[in-house]
Parts: sequence; C-alpha cells; structure tokens
Amino acid sequence: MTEQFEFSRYLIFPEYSESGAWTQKRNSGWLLFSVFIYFAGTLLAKNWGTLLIGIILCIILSILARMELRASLRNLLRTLPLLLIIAVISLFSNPILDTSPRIFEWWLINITRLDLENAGMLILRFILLMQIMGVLTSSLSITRFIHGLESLLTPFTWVGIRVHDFVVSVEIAIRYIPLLTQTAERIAKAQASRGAAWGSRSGSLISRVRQVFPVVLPMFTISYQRADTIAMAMDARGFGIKGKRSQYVSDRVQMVDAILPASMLAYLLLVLIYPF
Amino acid sequence: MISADGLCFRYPEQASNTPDILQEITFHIQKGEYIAIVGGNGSGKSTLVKLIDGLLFPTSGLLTVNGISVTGAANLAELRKQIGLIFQFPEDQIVASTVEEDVAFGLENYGVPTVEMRARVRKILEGFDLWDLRGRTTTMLSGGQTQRLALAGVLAIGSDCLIFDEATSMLDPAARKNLMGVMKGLNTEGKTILHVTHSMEEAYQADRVFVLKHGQLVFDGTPFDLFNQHNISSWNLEYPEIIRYCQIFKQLGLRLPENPRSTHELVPYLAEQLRPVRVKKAVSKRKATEPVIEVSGLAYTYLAGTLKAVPALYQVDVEIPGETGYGFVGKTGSGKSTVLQHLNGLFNPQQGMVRIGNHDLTKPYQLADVVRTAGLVMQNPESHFFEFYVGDEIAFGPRNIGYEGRLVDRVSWAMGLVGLDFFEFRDKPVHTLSGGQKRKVALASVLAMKPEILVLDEPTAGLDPIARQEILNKFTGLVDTGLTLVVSSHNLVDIVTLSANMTIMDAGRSTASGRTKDVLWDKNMLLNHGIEPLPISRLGHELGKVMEVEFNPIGEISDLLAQVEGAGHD
Repeated sequence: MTEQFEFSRYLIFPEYSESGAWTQKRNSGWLLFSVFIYFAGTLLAKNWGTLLIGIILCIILSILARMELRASLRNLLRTLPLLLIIAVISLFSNPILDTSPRIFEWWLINITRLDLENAGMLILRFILLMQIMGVLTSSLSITRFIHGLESLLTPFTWVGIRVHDFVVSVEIAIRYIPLLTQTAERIAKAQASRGAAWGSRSGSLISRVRQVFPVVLPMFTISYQRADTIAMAMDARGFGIKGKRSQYVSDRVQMVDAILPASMLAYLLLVLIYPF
Repeated sequence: MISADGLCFRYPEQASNTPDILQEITFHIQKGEYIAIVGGNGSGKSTLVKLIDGLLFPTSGLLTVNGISVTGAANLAELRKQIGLIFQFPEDQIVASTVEEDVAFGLENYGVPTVEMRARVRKILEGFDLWDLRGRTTTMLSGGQTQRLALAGVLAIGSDCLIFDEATSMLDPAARKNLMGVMKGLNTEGKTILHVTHSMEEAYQADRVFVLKHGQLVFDGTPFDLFNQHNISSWNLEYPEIIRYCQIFKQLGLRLPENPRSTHELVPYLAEQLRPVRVKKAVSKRKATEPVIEVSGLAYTYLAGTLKAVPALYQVDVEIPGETGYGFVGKTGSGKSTVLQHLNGLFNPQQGMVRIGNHDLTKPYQLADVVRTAGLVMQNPESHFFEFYVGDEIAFGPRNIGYEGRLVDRVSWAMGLVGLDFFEFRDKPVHTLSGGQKRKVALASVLAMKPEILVLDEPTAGLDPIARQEILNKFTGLVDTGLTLVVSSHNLVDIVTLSANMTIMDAGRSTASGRTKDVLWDKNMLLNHGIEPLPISRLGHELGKVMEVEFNPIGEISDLLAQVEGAGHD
C-alpha cells in the first residue's frame, strides 16, 4: 500500500549526491561533451565489436562514478516493460533485403537471425545509454550540469541565441521533477483517503491507466501555481536582471579532463570507420 | 526608506466590476523599523509586499524604495537588491540542487565576484549551522534545514529591508520563536523588517502595525494602540493572549501594568492582588470509552530499501478513546503527519500494529473500507483540491465509497455541518473561495463520507484568526455529536480546545501521553521536547512560584481563575 504513494521511488536516474567520485571532479563541460559523444558512438555502432568497446567504456565510467551495481540493475528492471516493447517492435521491423536465415515463421510473422541481432543490439544500446545517463546525473549537480551545458552551447551566443535563458529553463525543469513527484504524491494520497481506488494492483490495464488521469490533471494545475511561486522567488533574488552574472562554481579545466573526451572521440571514430 | 502615496493595484485580467486589490494606500517607513502587516485572508497583504519588491507594479499612485521609484523594469536590479523577500513555503524558493549553490544563486545574479561570493556563502552557512551540509542535495534536507536554507539564500544578498511573507505560519512554536529571534536580531543590526503574519502574538512584538482590510490600510500605529483602542474583530483580527488575559483581569477589578509585553510582567501585580484557594484536582466525569484506535510499536521509513530511505517513526504507542478529541503535538519532523497517515490506512505499518475500529492494518485491507471509518483532512488541504466546483469536490468521497442515497442530500448535509450554504456555494469554483471557506470545503469533503473518526493534520494553519475560530467552533460541535477527533497542531491553544487527551511526539517516538491539561502543564518535559508551553501555563507556573503554591494544571484562563481569589473576584 505505502509504496504506491512514494512516486520518487520510481525516478529512474540517480540524483547527484557528493561522493568524491572521479567523474564528479571533472570539468562539467567536458564531461557533458564526453557523454554526448558516447551517445553518438553507441547509437551509430552497427556491429558487436564496436558495441563491446561501448560496454567496456560504460563499465569503466560506472566504476569511476561509483555507481552501485544493485541500483543500476533495479533501474533496468523498472524499464524492462519498455525494453520488451522495443525488442518486439524491432523483431517485426524486417529490413526489406534481409536474406539471413529464418529462425521462426508463422502466418505473417517472420523472424530472421538479423532481426534477432538487431533487437539484441537495440536493447543493448538502450541499456548502455541508460547507464551512462545515470553516470551523468550522479556526477553533476544540476547547477554544474547547467554550467556545463552553457559552456558547451556558448558558440550559439555568437549567432545571437540567448543560451543563458535556455539553460535556466532547463535547470528549472530538472529542479521541478522532485516537486512534481511530491505534488502527485499529495494528490494521490488526498484522493485515496477519500476512497479513490488508487494504487490497487487489481483491475485491467485500462482501469489502472484510468486511475492516473484524476491525479495527472490537477497535478498540472497545482504545478503551474507552484512554478509561478518559484519564478517569483527567483525574480526576488535578482534572476533575469540585466548585467553580467558571476559564477559560484568555477569549473577549471585540467589536463586530466581531456582523458574522457579523447577516449570518447576515439570510440566514435572507431565506430565510424570499423570495419576498416 | 519605503514610501507609498495613493498606491493602487489591480490585476489586468480582473473583471471591471471588482474593486482594486489595493486601494489608495499611503504610508512612510523609516529605515530600521519593525512593522507587522496583518489582516484577514485576501486583504491584500501579500500583494503589497510583492509591489514593494518590484514583483508587481502599481496601477496608480507612487511607491518608492530608498528613492527608487517602483514603476517598471527600470532600476529593477537596484530595487530588488534593497529588498529580501522570504515566502511562506521555503521549498518553493529553493532553486539550486545543492545547499551552497542555492545560497550563491542570488549573489551570482547580482554579479558578485567569485572570491567574495565564496566568503559570503561560507559566512552565512556557518551562521545558520548549514556549512557541514553545503554539498547536500536540497531535496534531501529536513523541514527545519530547508527553512534555514531559504532564509540564508535571501540574507546572503545583504538587503537593507527584509520581508517575511507568512514565513512563520507553517513552523512549530520553537522554530517560530527561533525565526522571530532572527528577525529581532536583524532589526537590531539596523535592517528594516516587514512581517506579514496572522499571529497576533507576533504582531504584538512589532514596533508598528499595518492592518489591511479589503485592500485598504485601515490602521497604522503601535500594537498597543491597535489592541487597546479598537474593536479589532471587524478587521478579522483577535487579541493576543496577554491582552485577552489583561482584559479579563481588568474586568475583575485588578490593577495591571500599562502595555505589558509578556505574562512575566503581570506576575508581581497578580501576586499582590490575588491569593490562592484550595481546589480539588479536577477529575474527568466522562466515562472512559474503549479505544477506537490502537497503535503499538509502530515504526516507519520513507523510501525504505532505497538510497534515499528516511526513517520517520521508531516507536509509537498510542491508544485513542472514542467520542472525544485526541491531540498530537511535536516539533516539525517529529513524525506527527506520518502517524496520522497511518490512522486512516493510507500507510500500512512496516513494523508494529495499528488498529482502527475493526480494521487491523497488519492484515490485508481495502483502503476504501478504512476511510469509511476514519477520514483524514491532510495538511494545507486546499493546495490539492482536484475538482473545479465546490459541490463536485465534496461529492468525490461519497461517490467513491459507493454511497447509495441521493448524493445531493449527502453533500448538502456535509456543507451544513461546516456552515456553508448549499445553494450559495455548490456551483462556485473552489479557487474563488477565501482561505477559511476553502478549509471548510476540505472538511466537508471528508465529513461527506460520514466517518466515525475525523483525523486532522494542522487544521488551522494559515487561516486568519476569525476563520480559525470559526473552524475550531465547528470541530468542537462535531465532538459534541459523538465524533472521535484526532488532531495534530503546532498551536497548543487548538489542542487544549479540541482534545481531552494527547500525545507528545519527538524524533519519531511517542514520548508522553495523558490528559491534555496534565501533559501541557509539565513545563520542563515540554521544553525538553522543544515545545513552548502555553502562555497561560507559563503565567500559572510563575505565579505559583511567587505565591509559593502548587496550582492544579492550568490550560485555560478559567483554570487559573478557579484557583485564586482576590479584589473583585469571587
């Protein structure tokens, strides 16, 4: 019963908590850049050889970020239904010129070895991206993430794009996730304490989905009001005024920060040119 | 420092036939003054302070802060630097992800150089005992730590004027006293303080009081003038406890000091003019009833089994008798709300036993069955209304539990119980109601399920004094009809009014239980648990000490009057 109201239990990515991990000490811009490159490499990897390198890099990064194996597995389990859906879709997305041996054939269903390989790779990519996303969220506080994003996007200011406004919007959106879960918890509790069948594991999937609507709709109204208050509190502390902002976190670049982006660029290069 | 002349404000989207939110307000505030701003819910207090901080702009009239005109975006940076605004809910003003980054947020906006910023952040965090938590995620702080952080984030900017917009309303008495001490300290350092509050005790501590009613400044003067010369109930205010005592003592013909600030000042006068009479200790005539709720060995951890696990309850043992009121008192974070959420089945016990009527929560149960027995009105209930119209909000519960009669009759009956006219209110959008009316809707929406037990979490928090009194009267009426009331409150006057028995909670444990007046009379025990005794109990103890007599427990002034006699008192 109780766990049904603890929505923050279901946040998949770990929150930042100071642990002194190696990745937490890296320059935020370079760390973000490395993750983006890793994403690109993993999404473009088209064979098991390059994906194996992706796995090795993922393991090394997870160790450097002091990620807990159990927590990672638990998060994976939570996304299992989504993974299975992806796998099934992938199985039936047959390439037109698939000439690989057929493994299963029934009525219109036709599964080849290539389908299985594609589905396996897709799931593996998804798992790797999830894990690296976890590395990122556990390594950077929201503020450092924002500073990193801002430094990465700085070139866009040269063409007149207001990068700072954009990244603060991102910051508030991220900051808002725990508040959203708290609001949803309160509404669900308020409804359940007035007899709404919230959280019952019985009933069809449709009836369980229907339970969610009465929570989601007021959540947006209430969240909007809270967002308004937060925006006002930010304004009251001088946010958005003209003039140069200073930075509390000075993210200096050290030689050691180059290791990650260099490794990731090498990985991406390998993905692009392998097989040679 | 702050001047307003004919200040008016209305929202652009407001209907043309509605009056301005603020009307022709004129005042002058000198640097270093301490001003309380009071008035009923919706009187315009928060709007006024938002105008002063440049978060809204006047529709007409003049408003200046340190010579800076509040008229639009020009000079906004300089204006906001002068004013620090602390809101009611601290979690709504924390922006960054870690403690130190949040304190630095305002300084970053004003472009304070990094080296200076680091020094200022450290100084302020050390001052608020948060330095050791500087790297902690802001969502992982306790209620008290969050409150301190919100304050630190504003104070770091170093504004000359600080505005506290109902910042004490959700605090426990110890935290409230602490924050009041901080305000006094800042005022002594020369800061101008504007304190928006519903607490008359707090307003009485100010140098000057503004009273707002329907957007008009109806009083501007000292608290002594306010509470001694005016019929304040028409402004939705009440008298502070000490003034109320003085009025009663004066009616009895007693001589008292002029404008006493604390009960301590009354003691020599009362000791001189009163003498104790021996009275037998009151014994409850009410027949002891069987407990309708039993809790034993209850322990509970939020997010158990995750890295974010937070233990909330360690050992709670309570027996709540039926057809009477029962109170829970304790500091913020002591576990009161967690216990209450077990008492209507929202939470099932992780350890220990909870029985509500015939429902044993250690065994599988249907929540809908338990809520028929025990209805819960959660803290700040109007913040999670989910229907648009009053009638629909109240009908939500009976509809869910499968009420078989006419739903309209049940809704009408519940609205009648809380004093809301069915035909006037059923089709009103809930967001258009006043604070007191919203609280009544929240109460009616639970009463509509006709529970035998009503569980209330901070039922009067955030209400103006008149709305609070109205709600308290409804509750006492409900207990008289045989309902069992379980109430948690930071306001000990509410607890004395509503509950015959009570439990003190501290750090997730039930530490003391018994008859309410007996428990609240144990001054040392209360202080040990961080709870401020009632002013009348303090007066009773001090008077007893001077008179060298052991009074029976005193929870209300009538308890004291029953044990003394003297000039004019029979």
